[in-house]
Amino acid sequence: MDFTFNEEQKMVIDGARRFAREKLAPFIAELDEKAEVNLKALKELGKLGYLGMTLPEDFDGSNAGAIAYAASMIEFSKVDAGTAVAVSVQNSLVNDAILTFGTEAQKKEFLPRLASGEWIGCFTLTEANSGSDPGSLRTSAIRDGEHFVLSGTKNFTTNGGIADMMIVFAQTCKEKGAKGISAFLVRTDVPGFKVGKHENKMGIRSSSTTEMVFENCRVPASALLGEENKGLKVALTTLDGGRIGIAAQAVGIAEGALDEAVRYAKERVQFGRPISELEGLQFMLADMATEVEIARTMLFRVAWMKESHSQKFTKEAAMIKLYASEMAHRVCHKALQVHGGYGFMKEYKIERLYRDQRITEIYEGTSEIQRCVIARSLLGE
Amino acid sequence: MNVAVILQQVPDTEAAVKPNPAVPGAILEEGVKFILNPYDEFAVEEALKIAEKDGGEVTGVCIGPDRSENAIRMAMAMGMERAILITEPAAVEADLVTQGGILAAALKTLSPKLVLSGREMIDSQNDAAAAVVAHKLGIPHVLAASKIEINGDKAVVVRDIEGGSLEIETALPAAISCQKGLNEPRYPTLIAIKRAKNKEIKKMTLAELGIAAAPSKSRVTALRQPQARAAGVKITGTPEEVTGKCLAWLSGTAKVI
Repeated sequence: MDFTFNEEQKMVIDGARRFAREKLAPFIAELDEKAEVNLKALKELGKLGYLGMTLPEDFDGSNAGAIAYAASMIEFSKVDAGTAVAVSVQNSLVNDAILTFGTEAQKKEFLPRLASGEWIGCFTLTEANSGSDPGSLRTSAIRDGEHFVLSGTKNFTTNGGIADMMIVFAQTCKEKGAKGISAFLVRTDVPGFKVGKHENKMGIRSSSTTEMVFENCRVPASALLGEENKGLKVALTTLDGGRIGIAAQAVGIAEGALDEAVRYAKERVQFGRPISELEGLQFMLADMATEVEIARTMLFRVAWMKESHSQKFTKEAAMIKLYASEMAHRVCHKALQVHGGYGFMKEYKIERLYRDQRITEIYEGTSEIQRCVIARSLLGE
Repeated sequence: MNVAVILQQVPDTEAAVKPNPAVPGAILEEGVKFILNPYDEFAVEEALKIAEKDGGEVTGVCIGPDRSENAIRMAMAMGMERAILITEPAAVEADLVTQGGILAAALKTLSPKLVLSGREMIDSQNDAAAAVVAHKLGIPHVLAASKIEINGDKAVVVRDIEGGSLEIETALPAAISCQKGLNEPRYPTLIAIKRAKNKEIKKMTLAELGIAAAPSKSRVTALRQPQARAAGVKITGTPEEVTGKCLAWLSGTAKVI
């Protein structure tokens, strides 16, 4: 067993850290306040190869692997969890879905443009009345000869407002419920589609989250991603990989919170000495660091499982998504507590990290859904 | 135009460096991350920009232990094509002038039109590499360039000085050291990081460079950390009291007035 990064991975991670420090950190406070996307940084990440990390070079991917990807996600998330989730969606949800389920023609059309950042992608599944239960989707895709006609409204779509293309999930056979869903690859400039409401979020405010509105939007049958009525498989398989990205985001936020807590504890003087000398506070820091380390270790094991293609990792991906997101909750809570009243103020980074953390327990499968996935696997269902 | 860059690996600026009690002048390396000397990144970037203009090649030369390969790979990920690395302890432990002779011998095998280096090594603060190498090669040198313009067989170099700048014209080949602000070093692309693995690092011995021995004329005998600063004196009271106490302290204890 070897728990070290190789030299190539180290350089990729160092690059991500430097990018976060130089190109994300100076802007995040303002972008968070204004709820704006750092599109320039995202495009630059594409040029550097961070938007095609798990794609083969045949499709202009950088093929850096799931481990380097997870580690880079940690570095971005420490500084700007909003930009990080855009990176995660592109890599884990969009690229991986097309790579796994796309036809050669679809791969050739979409993947090089996504890998380079020329196109930003999104994955639009959730609807107002269909969150954890994808069988209840109302957006429909009705076949009309060699076309499908999409109608309905999606919501909470990450990258929605900046996307050039999307993977859309819609009902193609209503009677079959969850088994009547299909996935489509659709450009956002297609007639009949428009971006709806931009959500005003609690955290990850430097990411775009929108409604996606389809009104008699005609797409060719060749836009089907995977087989007709097999969209649920596309969604669930893709979300397995997505969970690695979100777990890495949670680990990054937690690491960022721990760094802030340690720094503040050394600086803040009460009772005539730095509060870091108080044992009660030391115990908090020790617990935080331990939990972060545990999550990191498991995260890289799951990333390794994905990278080595050695075995199915559905259960483990659910476990690390569950653990890392809830761990990040505890760590951010304690890190803010270490800051006392200052932690409640926007001048301190921990205030943003605390808000950014919350979504990691919800999107790409709530903690409760992760527990269902884990239990189902345990009980052999 | 072919450009050579003198490279050095140094401890990361964020690393907490401690002297090695067993080896005079050395640091404890365990747990310390080593990076490409940050000033060398400006040199590599400038070399790449100059070489890219007319399809020239950038080669690195480096004296250092085996781990220096990582710093070279970083420069290669930025775009440098090849490198020569000299790892013999006699070279690694030599003084700057001796090392300059070794670097010059390595550079002669490349006959570059321009030699670039970082302005200084951030660990030892040695800043003479370009000057010594130029001397050994018998070519002109300019230190701490904040702008380099190549014009045929000449280079016009700007160096910032207190309150202004100098413009220096030099014939080529020349050795120039690179100051912060010269350019913005590029980020390696992930593909370039992958490619860097397979680029050639030629390890050369002193014998191969035609250097019989490398006797140093000076050596580092000790490396010390700065002494911890004593705590300050806190003076409290009304403005009048503070002024009085302050004056008393300055004249009595500190004896500066």
